[in-house]
Amino acid sequence: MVSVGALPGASAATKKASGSTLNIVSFVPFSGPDASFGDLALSGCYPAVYAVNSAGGVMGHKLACTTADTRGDPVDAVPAANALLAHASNVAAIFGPSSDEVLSTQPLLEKAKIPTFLMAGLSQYDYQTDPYYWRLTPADAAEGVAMAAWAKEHGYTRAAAVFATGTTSQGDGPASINGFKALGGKIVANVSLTPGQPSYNTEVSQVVNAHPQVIFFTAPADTSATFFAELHQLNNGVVPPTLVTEVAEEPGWINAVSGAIGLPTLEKQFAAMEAATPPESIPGWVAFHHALYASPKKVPNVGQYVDDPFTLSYYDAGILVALAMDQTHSAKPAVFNQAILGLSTPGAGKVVVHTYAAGAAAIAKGKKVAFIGASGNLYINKHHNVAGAFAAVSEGTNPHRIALVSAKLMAKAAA
Amino acid sequence: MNQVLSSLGFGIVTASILLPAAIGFTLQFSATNVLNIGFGSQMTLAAFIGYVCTSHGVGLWYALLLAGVFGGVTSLLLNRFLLTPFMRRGTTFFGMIVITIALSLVLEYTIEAIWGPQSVFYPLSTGGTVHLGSMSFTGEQLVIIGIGVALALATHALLRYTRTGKAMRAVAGNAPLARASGVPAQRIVDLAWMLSGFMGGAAGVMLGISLSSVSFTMGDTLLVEIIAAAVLGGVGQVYGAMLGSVVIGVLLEESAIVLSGAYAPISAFAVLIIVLLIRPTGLFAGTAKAKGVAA
Repeated sequence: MVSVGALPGASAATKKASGSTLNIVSFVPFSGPDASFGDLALSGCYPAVYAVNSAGGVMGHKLACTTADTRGDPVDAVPAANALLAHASNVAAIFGPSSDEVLSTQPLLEKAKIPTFLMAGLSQYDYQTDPYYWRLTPADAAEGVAMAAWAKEHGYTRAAAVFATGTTSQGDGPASINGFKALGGKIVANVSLTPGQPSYNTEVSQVVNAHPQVIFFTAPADTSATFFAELHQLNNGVVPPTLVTEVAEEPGWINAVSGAIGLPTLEKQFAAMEAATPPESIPGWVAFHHALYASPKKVPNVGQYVDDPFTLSYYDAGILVALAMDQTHSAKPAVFNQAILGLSTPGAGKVVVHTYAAGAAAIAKGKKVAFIGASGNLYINKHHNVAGAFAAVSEGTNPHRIALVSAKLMAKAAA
Repeated sequence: MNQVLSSLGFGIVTASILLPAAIGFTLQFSATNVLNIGFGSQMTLAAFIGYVCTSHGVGLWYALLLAGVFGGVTSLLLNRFLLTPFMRRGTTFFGMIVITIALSLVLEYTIEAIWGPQSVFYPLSTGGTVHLGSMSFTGEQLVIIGIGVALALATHALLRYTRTGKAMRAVAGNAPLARASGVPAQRIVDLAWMLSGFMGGAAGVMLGISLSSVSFTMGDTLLVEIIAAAVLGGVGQVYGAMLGSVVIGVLLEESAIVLSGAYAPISAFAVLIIVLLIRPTGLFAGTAKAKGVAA
């Protein structure tokens, strides 16, 4: 349920007075099993609000972070959404909802026409078209996109997609296939593995006969062990280069597959796609880090959020919303929302800024700006999604980062 | 054609695992009239014991033997202290099935509580492969085939050439008559449970080797195929179970060529349904009818 008291200015008149406080509402679980989502949203909101307010606010308004607890329950979230929308006149942006309640509250939030920054990785939103919905963290399927980009970057043109049936694979599988095709690659075998089978020799034969240069793969540990043991057997001891998801970095998975094909083969031929944050040296992250600790309001154990992709993205979202208001000279969401995409995209004639203060100053001088914040270049696509930053990590007993996956190729693969 | 032969190789391996499992399942049923749905979980428990052995330095094939012995002893104890008291109280056939379902769940969750939800693994060699035409076998797979065939032959020798085997067949055919003829029926029933557990334990380790992993639901996954093999051969018919194992094992792999691999297990269900429709007594009629399982 939303707490009216948690929404300062909720009782204010519908027409905003100059100097009134505009709220960024974190509409996520603050109680229940996913209560940690609440602090995650606030951990980005607090430094963003601090950065804006310490620069004098936006168009005479101060920003504030407020909360609406969905309890992580799709049913409880509906009255919370209704309460939020009853006082929507002072709401500049919504951080959330999470995957827990996004489907049940979507019809309500869509009507509000307020910039809504999802905390939901569901594949339903990969190609969404609502102009007010934004997702600045990678979708669940982004690892599949990263596989496609990494394969393209390394010159592979023929790939086999091998994915276990299941919810995670439903996102990764199509994403890797569509992404690789979008980058000019060819999927020579598209194989589904049903976990729990005594053998996968038919599926393995399909892969072997297709002669792929690279395999895109996701499956549970036991299924993977059986599949790769048989691939090793039927392909004369040769396992082609294989790109796997973050699940394959778990020790259980590594033990299973290294037991089936040998640790040297695993270390040599496998790479896992892992979500990565940009280096802590980039100016946008440095500004965020300063604001995170300088803000009088902090979440508990704030240090654990300094490299969290959600924290960074919500900080960036808060700054983008404020800059959009400046650029459109309006605090009306229906007006400033349309400026967010352009502000996040560098281009010819644009001044790249890394802080709200610098962006507001440039806009005041009539310049066009592009904000590159704590997350680095977001590369937001036309569906208001980001590919996110990913790194390839070696598999084995001593995993290490091989290199970052090309963000440009990921954006192209996800388009 | 190459794919058919390649799948035949894997089918022979699967059949070799099904052989001891289906023999154990049907041997125990024929002697006791208890349809043991917990058989798959007993296999899994033994497979985990095999894992414990290998993780303490015991060789893989010795671990298989020890897991089989553990399976036999556990099976005997379960019968003596859990199932027999229920039977003495006159629990019905279906009541016993429900008890074995409960036993299956208890074993499964006990395994998960002890070893966790993650799979465990045997130390396997990743060495060479033996090619026979389009078929290929790893060293471990060849040993699995050898063990499967050896256990089937040993069962045949036991039943055909020993007094104990003849007594088992007598109890399976008509227990009251066998008792009246001086056959120590209780001892034979104990032996049937022990042999069943041993076969299941060995099959559990063989399955873990073949899958390259051991999970706490592993045995249950194979239970449908084991039952299908037993029904195809005729419930309670050991030789029928042997034939059923070969047919189901090969069919599982070959059907994956026609169907998608994901739907291959349907072939086992299809065989189960077709056999029950056309020949409810299975290929080797006899015990099923005697036990009242089939008309």
